[in-house]
Parts: sequence; structure tokens; C-alpha cells
Amino acid sequence: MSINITITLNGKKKTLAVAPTQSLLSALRNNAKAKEVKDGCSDGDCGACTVLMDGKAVNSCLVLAPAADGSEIVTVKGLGTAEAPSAVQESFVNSGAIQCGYCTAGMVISATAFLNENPDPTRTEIREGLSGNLCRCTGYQKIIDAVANAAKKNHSQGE
Amino acid sequence: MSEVKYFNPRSYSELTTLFSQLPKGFQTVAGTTDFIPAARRGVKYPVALLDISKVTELREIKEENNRISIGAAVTMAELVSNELIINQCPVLASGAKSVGSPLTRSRATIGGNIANASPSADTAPVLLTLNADVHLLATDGTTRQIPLAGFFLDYKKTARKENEIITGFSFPPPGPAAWTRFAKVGQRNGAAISVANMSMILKKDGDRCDDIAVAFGAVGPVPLRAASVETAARGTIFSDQFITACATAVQQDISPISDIRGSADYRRHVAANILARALTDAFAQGGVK
Repeated sequence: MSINITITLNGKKKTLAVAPTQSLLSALRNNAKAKEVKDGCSDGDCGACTVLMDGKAVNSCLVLAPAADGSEIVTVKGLGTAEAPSAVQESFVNSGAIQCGYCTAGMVISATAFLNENPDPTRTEIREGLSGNLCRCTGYQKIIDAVANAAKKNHSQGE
Repeated sequence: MSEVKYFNPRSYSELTTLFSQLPKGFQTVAGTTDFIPAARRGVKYPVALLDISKVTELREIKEENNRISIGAAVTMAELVSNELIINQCPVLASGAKSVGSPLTRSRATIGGNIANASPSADTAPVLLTLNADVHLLATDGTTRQIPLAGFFLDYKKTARKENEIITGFSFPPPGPAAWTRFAKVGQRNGAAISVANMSMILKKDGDRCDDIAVAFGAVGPVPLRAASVETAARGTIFSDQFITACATAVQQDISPISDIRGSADYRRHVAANILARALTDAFAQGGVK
């Protein structure tokens, strides 16, 4: 038995035929071919598969695909493009926050959701805010720099 | 492969209308942050999934007749940021904030945290100290309300019947005069499962402990109220002997086991320490909040 779900993926409506036990991660990668969503542990520990679901950062591996019916999903591709990156994306590049890159998509999504809720964070708050995303290159300092720099930039643009 | 049926009601009336179609052996799910990892580890899928995460009425936090009620599908993230919870019982916001990572907190629900009945569930000791009731709805339409203290029967066993779903929790707010604390010891700060956790709600008059509720998690088969500590502390004047008496009493209340996260001995030490630290802070000059 498959279930038809309709999601808005990076601004475009998509109807996907999913199994009741399929994860949103699998539906995004295999049905919608959104390969920018990375599969790390499939178990909610690593955060590589983080997407925005109705504005909130979630582990897409821990969401049942049918539960996403009617939701707005944003992946790292939905935040910006190579020509016009989002402030967070640009800051990750400029701060040297990318090593192997596997965690980056999830990190950028988590950082985006975090800064939306906390636009002027301390470094401790940034660490807590990104605590669901693991970087196995352990490039955390640069990642935290990137989020802090993005926050600063937001701040100065707002003034 | 899968013959699993999936139901996703959006309102309470849609939920109750579904009951006649629900096959026996259905399982209620919401955030699925525990359910999916368990399924990956080989726990058999039920014949049907009843996903209550979008039932509007079960997502509400409200205050009525001097009781706070919280719907089963309220997420940990919502508890952390809800004004009513922050103002009326910050200890619950604090317990919810220690669950998982920000990513799991945006999906994990209070109903799931309790239904799963893990001894280490971080909202369980908090709800126990708040004297919370569990609200249950059966698929025949009947409802009942029972104290959470009688809900946890044994390791991962609860008083919930197979045809019942948890719809929410209610409790009287502890009031602004109460001193409260949620404490947790895990193996690291981020996204850790508790080695021991504790919730305390204390009412004091100067140096005297007027009333106290203390509950622990991860130090027995179920989250539990520390009855011996409460008896030893109630009506007693704060002193070094008072701390020692409470730290001794807690050993009678708990029955920890050794597992991957810590030994039974370690848990006994840790439980006594977080209890002593909380009591010391509660009676410290100026009363640390």
C-alpha cells in the first residue's frame, strides 16, 4: 500500500507515492531525488539529514514520510544558490567552515533555523543550537565562527 | 512489503471518527523520534499507525480552573518556549530542554516521552513532582484520568490499556513561591540520555522546609517519587545533618542497575549529590532560583 503525499519542496509542490513506514529522508532522496539531503546515521544522532519542516529544523530520518503530507520542506538547496547564497551559506564559505562537506547541508539548515529564533547568540548558545549536528572532521570551531559571523552580518544589516 | 495502515487525523472529531476503522493492535505515534529508531532495531511494525501529531486539540497548552493542561502532541520545543510554562512551571521547560537535541525537540512530544515509559525520560520526574494526572481516551470513546504516580507499573510497562491513547496531562501550577529544580547527569552535555535525573519542588519558610516533592529517573525500573526523602525533609530545619539525612534516605527510594551508561554505585552517588546540591542551593542565602 502506498500513500500519496503532497509536499512543498523548496517552493515547488510535489506529489510523492510513499510507503507508510518510509522516512521523510528516504522520500526526499529516493522519490523526490533531493540528493542534497544527506543520509548519515538514519537514526537521529548525526543531523546530516536535517531539513526545515514548516520552518522547524528536524531530522528527516525520524519523520515518517506520510506525516509530512501538507508540509513545507526546505533543504539546503532551497536556501540559496551558488550565485545568490543565503547569509548563512555565504558565511560557511567565507569562514572556512567546510571540510569534507558531508555534515554541511544539515549544519547550514540547523544554523538557519537557530538564527531565525536567536539572531544575536553567544558562542555557547550556538554550540547548544547545533548540538544535534555532528561533524566527524571535528571542524566545529570554524562552523561556530561561521554562525557567529552570519549573526554579526544580520545584525549590522539590521541597523 | 508493508501492509501497515496509516491514520493521520487533524482534529479531535476526526480522531474519534477514526476509532471504528482502527484495527486491533494499532500503535499511537506522534514525533516518532523513539519509534523509528526502535523499528530500525527490529521492533516489529504494528498493523496500523495512529499518528496524533497533527490533532489540533492535542497540541494545546492552557490554564483552566487553576490547572495547567498540556496536550499529548505538544513538542519539547513548544514546552521550552511556551510563556505559560516558563512563568508557571519553569521546571517543566527545564526538563523538556534536556531531552535530546534541538532537532529531536522540535518533533518529540510529551505524550511520547511518558507513553514510552523509559526510566530515563526527562519530563517524567517533573510531571511526578507536579502531581500530574494522565488523561486517557479509549477507542470505545470512554475517557479516564489517573495520577501519573500510578501510571508507571514496571520497566516500560504502564497502566495504559491497548485500546487507549494518552490525550494529555494536567496539574495544579506549583505557584510563584515554590523553589524548583530539574537536574540531570548524562555522559556529555548535548543530546545525552540521563544517567540520573531529578525534579524538585520545594516550599520553604526561612530555613524550614515546609513542603517538598522530589522525583528521580534512571535510578530504578520506573521514574519514581522519593518518598523517604520527602518524609525526612518535610517540616525540618535546613542544616548539614538535614542534607546528610536526605542523602541517606534517597538510597532507600532508588534501586539503580548497572548498564552501558553507568554503574549502580555511580548512580547512587550521583542521585545523592544532585539531591544535596539542590537542597543546598534552595536554602542558600538569597535563595538561588
